[in-house]
Amino acid sequence: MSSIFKFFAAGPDAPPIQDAAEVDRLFHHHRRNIIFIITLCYGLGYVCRLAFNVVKKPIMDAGIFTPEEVGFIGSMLLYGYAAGKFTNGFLADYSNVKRFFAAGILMSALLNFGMSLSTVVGISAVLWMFNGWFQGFGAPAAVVALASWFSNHERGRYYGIWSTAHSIGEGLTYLGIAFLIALPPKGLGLSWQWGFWTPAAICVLAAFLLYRYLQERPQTLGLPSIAEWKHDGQTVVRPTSHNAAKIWRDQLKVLTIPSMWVIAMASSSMYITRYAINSWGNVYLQEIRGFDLFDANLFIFLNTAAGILGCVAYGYMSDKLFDARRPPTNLIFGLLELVPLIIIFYGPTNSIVLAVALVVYGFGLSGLLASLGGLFAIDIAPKRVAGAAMGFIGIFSYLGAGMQDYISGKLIYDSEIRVVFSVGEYSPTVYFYDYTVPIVFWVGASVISMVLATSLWRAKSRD
Amino acid sequence: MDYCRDHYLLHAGHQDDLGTLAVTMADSGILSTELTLPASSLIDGIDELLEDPQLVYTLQTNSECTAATSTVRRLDSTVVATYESRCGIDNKIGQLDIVLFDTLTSLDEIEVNVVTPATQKRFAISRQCESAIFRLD
Repeated sequence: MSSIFKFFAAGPDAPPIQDAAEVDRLFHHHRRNIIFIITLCYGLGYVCRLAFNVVKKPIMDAGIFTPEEVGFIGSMLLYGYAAGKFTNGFLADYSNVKRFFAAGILMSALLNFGMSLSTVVGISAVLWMFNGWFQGFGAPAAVVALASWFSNHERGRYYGIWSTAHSIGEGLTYLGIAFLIALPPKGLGLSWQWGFWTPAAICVLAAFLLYRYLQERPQTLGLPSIAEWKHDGQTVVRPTSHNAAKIWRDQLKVLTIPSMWVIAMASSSMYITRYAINSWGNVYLQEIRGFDLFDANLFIFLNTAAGILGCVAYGYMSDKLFDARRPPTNLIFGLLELVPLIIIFYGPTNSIVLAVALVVYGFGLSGLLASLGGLFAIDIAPKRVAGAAMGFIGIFSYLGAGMQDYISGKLIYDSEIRVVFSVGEYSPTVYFYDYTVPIVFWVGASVISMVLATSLWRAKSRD
Repeated sequence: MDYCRDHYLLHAGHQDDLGTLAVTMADSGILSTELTLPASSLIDGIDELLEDPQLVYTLQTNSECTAATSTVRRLDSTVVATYESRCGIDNKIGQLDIVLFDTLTSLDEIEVNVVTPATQKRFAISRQCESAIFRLD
């Protein structure tokens, strides 16, 4: 057991490099690698989290699970993820992030493979919960890497770039995995199990890349802290055995900052909407709007693709236009999320209107995701416990998302009408659902999120 | 070629020879059903069989619906049977069991269109296929 802890523990500082040119060269080299690798691999790892959403409808249509069971299984991932973000947020502050991150993604790959073998709701729920927990290794590890390698005044931009990983992963899932499962000629018409096998293979690759290319904090390479190198007024102290108690006390202080609680609630509400669209959006488009699996996922992809721009635009706008103040940008992006959401569900049923609304929604939502999902919390929290701040927000966010998945599934299932044909030995069954009530739930959560996020107008960032 | 999986390649060729079943569930709690069967599906005494709604469908609801009314008429070489069940606004229809294939053993395939207050689905049911066929074109 101690060898496992030792394997994952943060490394000691290396003797400082005295050559300033060499320090500059190494910083430039590693910073470029790190932002690229955490963005790419977090995105690839995301596929192992989302693929279940694409195969939901084939699984429901095949009568393997009801919407309520699907919602239950989906919620277990999010609860596991919430727990993982909380525990792993704290652990990430003490760990060798490259090993920590890679191990999480590798375990997630194995659990996806396990999902392809299960048609028992209890087993699937347990597997998916553990998948959520291991998925929770990624974000805190990436944020610790960001906090270690990028300074206060540039973190908005780099955080924005890293946040595009969500969209890369969502795009890969909603387009790539959907292509595998959708019927010909739009897809390959493979069985739903391929929706788990392919992500498993992708995540094995991501784990390898992380292990090979991610770096621990600069001091382990003999470099100064990022604050010293950038002269950016912060001092990031990574936990070591002798200062662990102090770090733990600082981590707990995160819980005493009222603004953190407001951000947590705002993020939780935003995640209800986010995961409602990601988990049930493609099912809604198939069930109610009559799109096929590929087209429905293509629409969801549009929202995620726009999210790439939204993340970057949010970071840039808040850093440059509002001098790293997040609340004004939160309001702008909140409106950019809410208005199209209303159009998607209550507006014209025209496909072009739907596509444009999803693009704008994805843009707005991803900006909020970058902010409420972490950036705003990191601003407000002491920097040395950035992982803990992320963990705190994460647990609330994913509790909201998890409750959403089960509640949505239950509300959808309550509206179920089955048309069952008795045809000799077969009983083909067609399911019909009504999304009126779930939609009110999803849009309402978005309104609450925007109000809460805007309420922190005077919140100040800390060093 | 897999008859069920690749049905969209075949359906247009035999669509005109198929019976159709149109089901509408209205907000008012009224379930309307229209069954149209072509000459090739007809058997002796079919009119009498179809007059009994229980031989076409049964409903599972929270509380009883009114007894279904039925009308069967001939239109050229086809038989058109219509049914109506009144279940009430707050009486949720949970399941509609279509037993038509048990009643008409010569019926091989039928095209179905179901409209609910929230959505609409068109598909085919075939004796050869375990699941409904959604891709028809």
